[in-house]
Formats: sequence, C-alpha cells, structure tokens
Amino acid sequence: MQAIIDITTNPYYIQVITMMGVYLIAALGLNLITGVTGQFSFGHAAYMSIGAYTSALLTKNLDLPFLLSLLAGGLMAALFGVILAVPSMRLTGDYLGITTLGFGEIVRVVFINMEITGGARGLAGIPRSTDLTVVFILVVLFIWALYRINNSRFGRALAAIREDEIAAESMGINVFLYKVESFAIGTFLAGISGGLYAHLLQYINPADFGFAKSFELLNFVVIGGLGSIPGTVLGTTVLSLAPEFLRFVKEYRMLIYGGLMVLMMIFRPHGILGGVDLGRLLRKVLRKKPPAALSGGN
Amino acid sequence: MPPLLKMENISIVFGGLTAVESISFEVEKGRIVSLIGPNGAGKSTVFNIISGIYSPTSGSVYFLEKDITGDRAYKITGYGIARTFQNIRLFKNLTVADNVRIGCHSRSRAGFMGAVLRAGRVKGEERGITDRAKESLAVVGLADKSEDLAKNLSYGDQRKLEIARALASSPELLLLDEPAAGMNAGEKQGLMEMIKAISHMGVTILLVEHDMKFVMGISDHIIVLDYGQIIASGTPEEVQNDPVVIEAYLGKEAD
Ligand SMILES: Nc1ncnc2c1ncn2[C@@H]1O[C@H](COP(=O)(O)OP(=O)(O)O)[C@@H](O)[C@H]1O
Ligand SMILES: [Mg+2]
Repeated sequence: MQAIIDITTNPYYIQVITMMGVYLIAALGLNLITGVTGQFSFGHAAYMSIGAYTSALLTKNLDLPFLLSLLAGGLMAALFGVILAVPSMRLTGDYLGITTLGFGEIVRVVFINMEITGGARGLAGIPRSTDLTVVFILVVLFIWALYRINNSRFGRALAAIREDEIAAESMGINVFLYKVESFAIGTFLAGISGGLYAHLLQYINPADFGFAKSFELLNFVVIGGLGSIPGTVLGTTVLSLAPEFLRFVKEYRMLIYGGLMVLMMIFRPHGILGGVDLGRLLRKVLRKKPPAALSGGN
Repeated sequence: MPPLLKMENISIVFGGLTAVESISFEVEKGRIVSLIGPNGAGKSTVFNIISGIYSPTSGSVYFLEKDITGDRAYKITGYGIARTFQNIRLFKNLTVADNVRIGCHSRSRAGFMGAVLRAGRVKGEERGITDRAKESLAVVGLADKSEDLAKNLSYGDQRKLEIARALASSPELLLLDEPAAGMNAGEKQGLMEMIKAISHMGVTILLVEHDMKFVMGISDHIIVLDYGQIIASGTPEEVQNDPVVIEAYLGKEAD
C-alpha cells in the first residue's frame, strides 16, 4: 500500500513512469514496422533523435507551442523514415537490417557535427513541457489508433506482407507502398516519442539515441511479442521499469537484454504474448459449439 | 467475342535457361482450360508471367484486349486475374477469415486514414468485405472454420482456402496451380465439383494439374507443354489421341 502511495506522489517515480510512456510510444511504432509488417529496423532511436531535436529547436528558438512542435518532430521523423524506406524497401531481412543500422549511425554522427544542435555537447535549456498527463493521453490515443489499424483493410495488408510478400502482392496489395506507409507511421511515432523525451529531460545529446537505444526498443517489442500491442506494453513496462527498481539490472542492462533476447529466441520466438490474439480466443470460447452429432464428417 | 486472355509469343529466359519459348494461346471467356505437361515443362512459369510475378523476356500478354505485359502483380489482380500457388502460400498465422478478407483487397479502398477514422463509408466497406469473404468460404466449404488459423488447417483445406482467397477478389480469370495435389480420391471429386460450380458462376478457369482423370473430366480445352513449348492443344479427346502427346507425356505416365 505504501508502495502505491510512494509511486503516485514521489516525483522520481512519476518521472520514471512518464519516461516509460515516452518509450512505449516509440516501441509501438517499432512494433508496427517490425512486428506487424515484418520489416527489420535497427535504427529506431535515430528517428527519436530527429523528433527530439526538431521539436526542441522549435520550442526553444521559435517559441512554437509544445504540441505543435511534437507534431513537427513526428512529421520530420516520418519524412526521414520515408526517405530511407523508398530506396531500401526492396531489400529484405539482413540487408534491410544493416541499412537501418547504418542509417541510425549516420544520423547520430550528423547530429554530433551539427552547429545548431549543439554538436556532441548536446542541446540544453529545453522547456519542460512533457508531463504524465500528456504522455498518458497520447499513449491511449496511439494504442486506440493502432488497434483500429490492426483490424482494418490497411492493417490486414501489412500483416499479409509480413506473412508472405509474393502472396500479398498477388492479392492486389501494393507491397512497396504499404511498407513505406508502415515505416512512415512507425517513425512518426518515434519522432513524437523523441519530442516528449526532449521536453521531459530538458537536455538531449546524440549519445542518447545510439545503437544501444535502438536495441533496447527492439527488446521491448520482441520480449513482449512481435506484432502484439499488449505484448509491446508488457515488454516496455517490465524492461523499462526493471533497471529503475533493481540496481543490478541497471548495471548489467545490456548483458541482461542480450541474454533475454537469446532465451526468447530459443524458447518463445514469438514473444511472451506473441501469437496470442485475445479477441480471437474470446470469440472461440463464446461461439456456440454445434451438437456433437453434427460436427463430425468433415 | 475477343478472347479473355491472349498470350502472344511469350518467352522467358532464366540465366541461360529458356524456361518458356514462344508460347501463344488464347483462353475464351467461360471456359475451363488446362495446361498440362511433365514436371519442369514451364506451367507454373506461365502462371507467374500471367499474374505478373515474372516479366517475360519477350512477347505480350493481353487481358480483355489490354496489353498487361510486365504490369506489377498487384495491378493484374485488380484487372480481374486471381491465382493459387502450387506451393501453398497462405498467410499462415492469420485466421481463415482474414486470409479471405485480404483476398478482397483489390475490390476495396480504405487506407490508413480510413482505418483510424472509420467513417460510415469505411464501416460499410468492411461489412461488404466480411460478406464477400463469407460467400467465398461457403463456395469451398470452409465457412465453419473461419476463426481457425490458416496453418492449422489440413492440407486439403489449405488448398481450398487458397481458392477461396483468390475468389474473394471477384476474378474474371482464375489460375489454379495444381489444386488437387496431395488430395485423396474423395477430396479430388469434391474439388472437381467445386471448380465446375465456380465455372458456372461465370469465372473462366485456367488449370494446371497432373491427375489425368481430373483434367480429362473437367476441361473444355487442353494445352500441352513440354520443355517450355506447346506441343499440342485441343479437346480432351484430341489431346489424348495425339501421338506427340502420348510420346512426350502420357506415354511416360502409362509405362
Ligand atoms: N525463378 C526461376 N529462376 C530460375 N529458373 C526457374 C525459375 N522459375 C522456374 N525456373 C525453371 O523453369 C523451368 C520450368 O519450371 P516450372 O514452370 O516451375 O515447371 P512446371 O510448373 O511445369 O513443373 C524449370 O526448369 C525451372 O527450374
Ligand atoms: Mg509447377
């Protein structure tokens, strides 16, 4: 009981939970790209950084309203998402993975060398506009939108691409276009997440968005269950809170993530909740079974 | 009446191998036409060219007099050509219903914004998709399995699901690549009735099949392929009695 009171009133815990929500938004975007559409992306943190710098510069230097700057950060990230996706979506598997990884590093190096972003020193003095309420509302909004996407013609087309590209194309799906759209939406969410991140910590630095962060986001998605929204929420919650509450987890974070990833690949390749469709399970349970005498013979 | 499909001097070369050489044939509307020939003759390759998976090295494909040579596969489905695959290519981890709903893709429009906003028009379209999917599943007798995952279906049912998924796109021309492969005699009989029923619905059918009894029992017209070339064509009787065919193909079977 005391713990609950602590968590809801202690500013440190509020900060931790807000940050968890910020990461969740990026992870949900990555889940759409990798989990739903089946396209590797090892540079997701780079899109966070594009959103973070864009929105931070807009509020800091141009006094743009916070929410507008978030939107601009999201759109800028999506623009770069599309710029990367158009030439590389003809690649598959490993090649796409390596391309996205390389892109992530390029973005980081560009920010280190850019004058306006403060280079390697980073960008400080960003107004603190992100709070738990904004993050909570956005998380709910995005989860709602992503559920709608998953249960739509658009979302089914993305899932078809993950399952079999040739069959998808033969069903009338413009595979290339849909992959690019998936990338645009997923990187938009990363950009929003980055904007929230910048306005929560008030200081950003290219090192915040390196490969380690991309790998961490991928972990959030993979551990919970690729393609599953509840899985992404679970994975992000557990993996982003654990280092805050368990000291040893923080110290050996990368080691534990790596180990977890290997264990999951071996024992539960679809993640903890992967392949579990709660809606489908419910429909199956609730559907009336035909009498035994009629159900035979097929 | 112009032919539904017209293949004109189609050739395709893979590396040094000419898999299909100067093939020309026509498929008239309403017919059941079979493409037969030994393994490796080029039958699936012809399907891949018609459906836009491969682009021919030379020659032209006309559908309803429109030149569709080299058009992308997703567009060709939109024109009204649907197909099944010899090596079953279902969306394995999706439900039977969703597989068939995806088959409706080319006959519906809602995109990303439609998905999120879900306006009245989009809801209506979704209902239409679900109805169309149910109809297609009823044709192949899988209506009661709509919530199963495709990968959990029996082999025969997976083949039927491929047909239902193709039908969902309301095709004028349906390409079936070895639909009876792996089925037992009873299932084959059922499949034959099913294909005839689909034909009666007004869908023109181009079929690749190895089972001669099946082919002879169902086809209006047969085209025989060997080493990428057409060596004979005609009615089932004509083809059966053609010495060239007996030599190249049926002879081997009869041995
Ligand atoms: N993508 C490809 N690349 C190289 N060779 C191919 C390709 N597709 C088909 N072939 C070759 O073309 C020939 C015809 O194959 P296919 O059309 O599958 O025969 P069938 O369906 O009549 O059994 C075979 O020799 C096959 O190896
Ligand atoms: Mg074949």
